[in-house]
Amino acid sequence: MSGSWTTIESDPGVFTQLIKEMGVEGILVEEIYDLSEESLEMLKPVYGLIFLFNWEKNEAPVDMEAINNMFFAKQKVQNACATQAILGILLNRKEIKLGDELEKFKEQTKDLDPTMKGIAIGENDHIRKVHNSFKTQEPFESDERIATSKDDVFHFISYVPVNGSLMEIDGLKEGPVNHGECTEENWLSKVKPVIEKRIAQYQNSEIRFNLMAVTKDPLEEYQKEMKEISQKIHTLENDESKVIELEEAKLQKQDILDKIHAHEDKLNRYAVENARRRHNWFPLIIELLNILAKNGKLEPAIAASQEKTKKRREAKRKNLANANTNASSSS
Amino acid sequence: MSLPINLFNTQQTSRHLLEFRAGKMFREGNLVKPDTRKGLIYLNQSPEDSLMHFYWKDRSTNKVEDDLIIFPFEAEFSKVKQSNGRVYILKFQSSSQKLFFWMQEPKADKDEELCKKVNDIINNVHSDDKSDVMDYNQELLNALSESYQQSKEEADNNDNEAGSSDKKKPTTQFSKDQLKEISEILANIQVPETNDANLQDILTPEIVSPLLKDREVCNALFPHLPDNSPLDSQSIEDVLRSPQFIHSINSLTYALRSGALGPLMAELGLDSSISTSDGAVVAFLRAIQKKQDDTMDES
Repeated sequence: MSGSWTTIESDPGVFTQLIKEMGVEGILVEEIYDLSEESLEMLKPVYGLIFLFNWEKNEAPVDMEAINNMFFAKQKVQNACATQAILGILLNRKEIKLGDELEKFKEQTKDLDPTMKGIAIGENDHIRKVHNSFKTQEPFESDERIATSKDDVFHFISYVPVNGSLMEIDGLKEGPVNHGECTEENWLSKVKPVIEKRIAQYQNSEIRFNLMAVTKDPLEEYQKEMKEISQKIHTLENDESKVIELEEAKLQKQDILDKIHAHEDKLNRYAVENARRRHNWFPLIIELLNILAKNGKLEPAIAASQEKTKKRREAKRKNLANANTNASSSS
Repeated sequence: MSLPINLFNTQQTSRHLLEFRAGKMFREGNLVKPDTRKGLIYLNQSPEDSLMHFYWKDRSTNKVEDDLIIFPFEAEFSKVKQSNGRVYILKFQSSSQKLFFWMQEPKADKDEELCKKVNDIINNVHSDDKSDVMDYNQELLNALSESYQQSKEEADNNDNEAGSSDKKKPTTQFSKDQLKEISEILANIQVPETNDANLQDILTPEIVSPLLKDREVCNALFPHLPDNSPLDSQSIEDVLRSPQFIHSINSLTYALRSGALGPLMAELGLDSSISTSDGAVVAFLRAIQKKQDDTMDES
C-alpha cells in the first residue's frame, strides 16, 4: 500500500538534495533563467531538463515503440510529478551512478509497462520517504490547503536524450513524445525551440514557468583542472625561460579557484535554504514576540500594523471600485 | 513543541452568502473525473481582506481545501455542455486556471439557479461599508424567507424524501410582519470593522535588529535557529528576511484567524480572556504582552 505524497517546492536546491538523498552521486540541479545558447553552453554537461508549467491539454502524438527501450512511467500518484520527472532523467542516463536503491528499482521495473512502473514508484518506500522529507515544516495546516489548489494545475515534465532521440517524458501521457533525432552535443539546441513553442502557446500574462537543468556536478572536473594546473606551475617554476607562461598559469589557477569557491557558495546556499525549509519556526516566532514584549516594542508594532491593515483595505476597496467601473464601461 | 492537529475543525459560525453541496473533479489524462468526497461550495466576503472568496470544503472532515479570491467579472461559473452530468466549471479570465465541480444537491432543479447566483455574487461589487451591511441584511432576509417558504412547503407536502434528510429544518416560522421587523432591526446594525495586525509587519528586521545588539537577546534566540546556522546576529537578520520564515509567520497569521487562536493560547498558557474585538492576531499578541508584564511584576 503506498502512503501519501506531499507537494514539494520547485527549487534547484531541493532537487539537488533530493537526488543526493535518493543515493545518486555527482548531480547538481541549476535553474535556467534564459534559453540563450551561451547560458545553456555554460551548464554542460546537462543530463536532462525539468520543466514546470500550468497544465493544459496537449495533443502531441506519443512514441509507443520507444517505451520498450527506456524508462517511461505513467503518473499514478498525486503530487509525485516532481520526483517522477527527475526519475525520468536519472533512469534514462546510463552514465549516471544511480546508487544501490535506484539501481535495484530500475532492474526490478525494467519489464513492467508504463502503468505498472508508475504504481511501482508510488509503492517504493525509499523514493517516497526522500520525497516527503522535503515537505515544508508546517505546524499549521493552512499550507497544505494552499498547495492543494495549486498542485491541481501545475505539472512537471522532463526532456532527455534517449537512444539518439530527444524525448519528452510526461507521466500524464500514454508514452513519451519523440522530438526527433539528436546527439549528446546538439540536444540542448534542439530542445530550445520545443520549449519556446510550448511557452508561446500561453497568453502573455502567463509567467509561471520554471525550467531546471539536471547537470553533472562540475566539482570533479574543477579538481582535475586544479591538479593539472598545479603540476604545470610546479614544472614552470623550475624553468627561468618560461616566466610569462608561469604568470599565465597562475592566472588560470586563480580562475579555477574562483569557480570552486562559487560552487561551494552555491552548495552552502542550497544547504542553508533546505535547512530553513525543514525547520519548525514556531519556537523562534514565540521567542521573538516575547523579546519584543519584554522590551516594550510589541505594543507600538501592533498599532503600526493595524494602521497598515486599514490602509491596505482602503487601497483594495479603491481597486475594486475601479475594477467595477472599468468592467461596466467595457460591457 | 507540539500543537493540536485539528486546528481547523472549528465550527463555521457565520452565515455564507451562498452555499450548496458539490464535489470536486480532478484531471486524469484528458479526462475529468469526479472526486467522490462530499463537498460544499460557499461564497463569502472575507472579513480580513473584504474581498470575495470562493471556497470548497470537504463536508466529512470540514476542511477547506480551496480558497480563491475572485474579483468582479474575473471569473465565470457555468455548466459544462459537453457533459450530460451535472458538471460545472469555474473559469478565470486572467489565467488558464479551471476548476471542475459536480452538483451534490439531492435535486437537479435548482442547479441553474445556483449557477446564476454564483455569478451574481461574483459580479456584485461591494464598494463601501454601508452597502456591505445592506447586502448582507438582504441576503439574511432572503435566507430567512427562503427557510420560511421551505418549511411551509415541507409542512404542506409532508413528504419524507431521503435526500433532504440532512437538511437543516428550520424550527421557527416567521410571519410577513415579523420578517419586516427583523429586516428593520438588521438595517440598524452596523458591522464593526476590525483592523487586525499582521505578523509580517511585526517580525521585521527593522523592528527586531536594534534589539540584537543585546548579547542576551541573541543567546535566547540561537537555540531556535535551524541546524548549522552561524551563531551571530547577522544570521538572525538573514532568517527574518528569508522566504521560508516569512511563509511561516504568514501561515501562523492565517491559522490564528481561522480558529487556532484558542488552542494556541491554551498551549502557551496565555490568558484567554483577552478581547478579540480587534482581531485574532492582536488578541494573541496582547496576551503575550500580558504574560510578559505579569512575569515582570512577580520578579
